[in-house]
Amino acid sequence: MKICVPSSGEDINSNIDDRFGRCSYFVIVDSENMDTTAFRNPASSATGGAGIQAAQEIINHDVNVLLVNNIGPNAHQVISAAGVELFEMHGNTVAEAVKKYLSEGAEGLEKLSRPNSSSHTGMRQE
Amino acid sequence: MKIAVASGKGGTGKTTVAVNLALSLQDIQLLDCDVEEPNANLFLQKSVDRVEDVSILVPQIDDDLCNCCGDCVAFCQYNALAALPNKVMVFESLCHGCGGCKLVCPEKAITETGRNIGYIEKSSGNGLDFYHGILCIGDAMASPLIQRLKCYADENKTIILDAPPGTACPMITTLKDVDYCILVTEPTPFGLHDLKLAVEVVEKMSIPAGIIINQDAEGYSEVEEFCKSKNIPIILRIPYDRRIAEMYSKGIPFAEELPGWKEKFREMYEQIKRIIE
Repeated sequence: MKICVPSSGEDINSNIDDRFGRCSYFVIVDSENMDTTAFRNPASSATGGAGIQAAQEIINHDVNVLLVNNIGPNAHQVISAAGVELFEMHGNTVAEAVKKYLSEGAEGLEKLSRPNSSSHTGMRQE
Repeated sequence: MKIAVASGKGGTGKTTVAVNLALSLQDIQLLDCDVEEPNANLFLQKSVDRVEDVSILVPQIDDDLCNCCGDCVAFCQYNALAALPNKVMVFESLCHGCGGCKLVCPEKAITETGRNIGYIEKSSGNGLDFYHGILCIGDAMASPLIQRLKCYADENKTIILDAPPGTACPMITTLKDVDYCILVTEPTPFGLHDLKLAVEVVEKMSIPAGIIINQDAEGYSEVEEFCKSKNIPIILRIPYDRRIAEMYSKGIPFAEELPGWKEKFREMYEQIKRIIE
């Protein structure tokens, strides 16, 4: 199972990024073997529709679970329609967030069945 | 001849200049291109008729033909599309209506349908032909509406285009193909800062420009120094005058009431004509 976390860096010990569409990187951890891959978020400086573009990238990378602090309406719509499971993120680093998910499981974390941020929230944070 | 009235900073007096200039001349067409906040008619107070509802074409996906290859998503510069494993989603409010997705779709799965973005109203009489566009509240597609509004330009007349503030797409759409651009500024650091951005735009678009200093008063000479360094003429100064402000607050174009101002606007117009020729 591939778990994805918005991150400020490319490393498993990087700090998480509170934004989704405009985060700097995405780190993906494969729960089978704990292999870690990361890629720069191409939507971070998009003129518009960053959430949609970032969500598209998540889908293209065959992610199964996405952990986020904030997600807006458009991104949420794409992520949900693609069947990616969406949970609230806990912890300060990617490693902590993934560990929390793996230890608590889907039952222990809050499922984000609705967007929890308004459009353009990520524009107000650097 | 097409003359645009623009500025970088909002609230410098674009509409004041556009309306007073229009009322000082004969055989004029005034197009209020500030479709997010068209204010010119607050001063003209003309009765208007709706002439057109404006739509842009947005994609419609035929799910039976679409194989979710993602070519349309890769083409769209505005992220208005997303390809899921089993369907393509369309975000109409982000679509600029360019039609590119339809062209690149290898499965011919995309057709287009109209999405209303606003409307155009007009009024004529008293030697002044007036049009304005009104963008739907909350809509972001100002430029396509401005493009449509500009189709009403009557080349037999002198056309004055009241531009939206700023230096983004709606302002550039308004300035495209004009013969001259009046840049209205105020003698403040903020006014100068945004004037510099607007000057960059007209330079890049190779549009001859002149500057009007509105609310002109002593104490801040940097605007003049900038104009001198850029070799852009100051074609009019409108003084910081309480009477003008009072008339403005009542929706009265000041050239109608204060003696000598129609002549000044006409002289400025003659100066513009000489520069263009």
